[in-house]
Amino acid sequence: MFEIITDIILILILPFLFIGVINKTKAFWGGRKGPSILQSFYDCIRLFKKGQVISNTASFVFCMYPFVVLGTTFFAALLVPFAFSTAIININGGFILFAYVLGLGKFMSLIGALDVGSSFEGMGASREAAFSAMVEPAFFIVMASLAAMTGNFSFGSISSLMTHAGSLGYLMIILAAITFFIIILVEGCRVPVDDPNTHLELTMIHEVMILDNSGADLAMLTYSSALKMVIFASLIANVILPDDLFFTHSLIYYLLIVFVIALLVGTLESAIARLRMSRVLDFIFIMSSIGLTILALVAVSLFS
Amino acid sequence: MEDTLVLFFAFTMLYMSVASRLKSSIKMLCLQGLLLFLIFNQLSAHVETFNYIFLAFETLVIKMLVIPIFIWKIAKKNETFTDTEPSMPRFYSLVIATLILFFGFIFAAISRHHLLVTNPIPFGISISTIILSLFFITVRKKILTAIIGYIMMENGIFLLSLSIEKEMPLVVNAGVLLDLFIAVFVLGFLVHRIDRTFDKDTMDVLVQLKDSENDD
Repeated sequence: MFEIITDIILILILPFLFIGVINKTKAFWGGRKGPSILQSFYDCIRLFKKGQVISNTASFVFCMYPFVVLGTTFFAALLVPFAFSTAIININGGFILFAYVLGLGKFMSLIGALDVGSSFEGMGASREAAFSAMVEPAFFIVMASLAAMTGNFSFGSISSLMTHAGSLGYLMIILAAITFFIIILVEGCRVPVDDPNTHLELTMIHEVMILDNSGADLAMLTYSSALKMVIFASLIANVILPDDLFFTHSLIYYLLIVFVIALLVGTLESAIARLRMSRVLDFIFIMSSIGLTILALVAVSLFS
Repeated sequence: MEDTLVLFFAFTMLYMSVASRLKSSIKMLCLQGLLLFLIFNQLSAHVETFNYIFLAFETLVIKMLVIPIFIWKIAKKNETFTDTEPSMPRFYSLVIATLILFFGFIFAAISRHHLLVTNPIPFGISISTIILSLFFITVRKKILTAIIGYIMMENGIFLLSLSIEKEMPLVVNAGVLLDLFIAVFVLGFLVHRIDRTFDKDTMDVLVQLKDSENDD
């Protein structure tokens, strides 16, 4: 019970801290003091207090979709183990449900962006759809490989990887962590895939989709985007951490890994420029390449 | 450990399949030279001293330094820094490279039981590297990238030799190296000549080559 409460608190708080650490890291590398680590939380509160401006062409889909995105992301978070090796909702085949729940949220955000009738947002939706289509197969390949290796089709399979994978286990763990890290960059719309700070027409992907959202809707979408990053950071933490740690150790190591990931994302954003749009697909496809490598390693280790 | 190094080697091939700048490909060649030395170091524990020195010289000096520097000098001389128009978009190259490497791994998994191979993962990856480098030579238009593809193929053959036997006969290794040396240097000089004659260093211009009228 105590673990469930801790996980829910983490789901509620960690997204704000995660964004805060990224922004602080970017400020550090830029030689600035930067905003408070809780700035994204204050922004959310501010947005909730504000009114909304809704386009005349928008229908109920536009009003509804931020709730669906928030709901699906929150439900997806319940399916994933956070600080402890079991998720709040731990079911067999949980990762398939997880991908489709996130897919539903993504679909709603796409039609929500199309609903306002702006060709600009349509362009963003088309880009987001193309990139998401590349993320999903990579995620499935990685998770299916890990499940085949451990014989466990729930998210628990990733926590027990270390004990099942044998001599190739460390390689699989590193490759799985790299894949999930690239998913963080894609789903969180971070550099080099997208730049959350840009408002330049030609380069925007996610930002352009939420251009017409304001007030509470915008707050929900921003929180959902940050929560998605934390979900995938949790997957990395669970891949790395063994499943037999004590409660406090597990929590401390988990938080450490999540904040190191946030530091890495911030450092990456400060160190490199975003990719040209034509090269983004190549970058995202690397995930599938790594996923297939994990699958191949599973085959090698099963045949031996 | 050798599996990790071979995996790195496989990823350099993936990187090269999307790299458009010649400098990136040349850097990867240097890295491949270093990785081949480390792999050979891991796989061959009991090698004769002379053979060890020869292989270390081949990988660390020739593959890692001499050939990449020579290619870079040709590139600078001809002002060829990018392969801008491959006959296939880079994304498709990446997809094909991924699939070839994947089947290399699967081949490695199968070969573990059905073939008498000492090191299955290097074996599978070396087969993939050879096929991939042939694919490279086919889809890239610049003559210099074709040369890089040829060197990659030789790296694949080197890895193949490491995976089949604990120790490759010195004479075979020397023969392959000599072959590579001559090919790279002849092609290197040829690139300069083709560039001077046609003002272009792509493979397309080679179809215009014909016997001189004075030869009749």
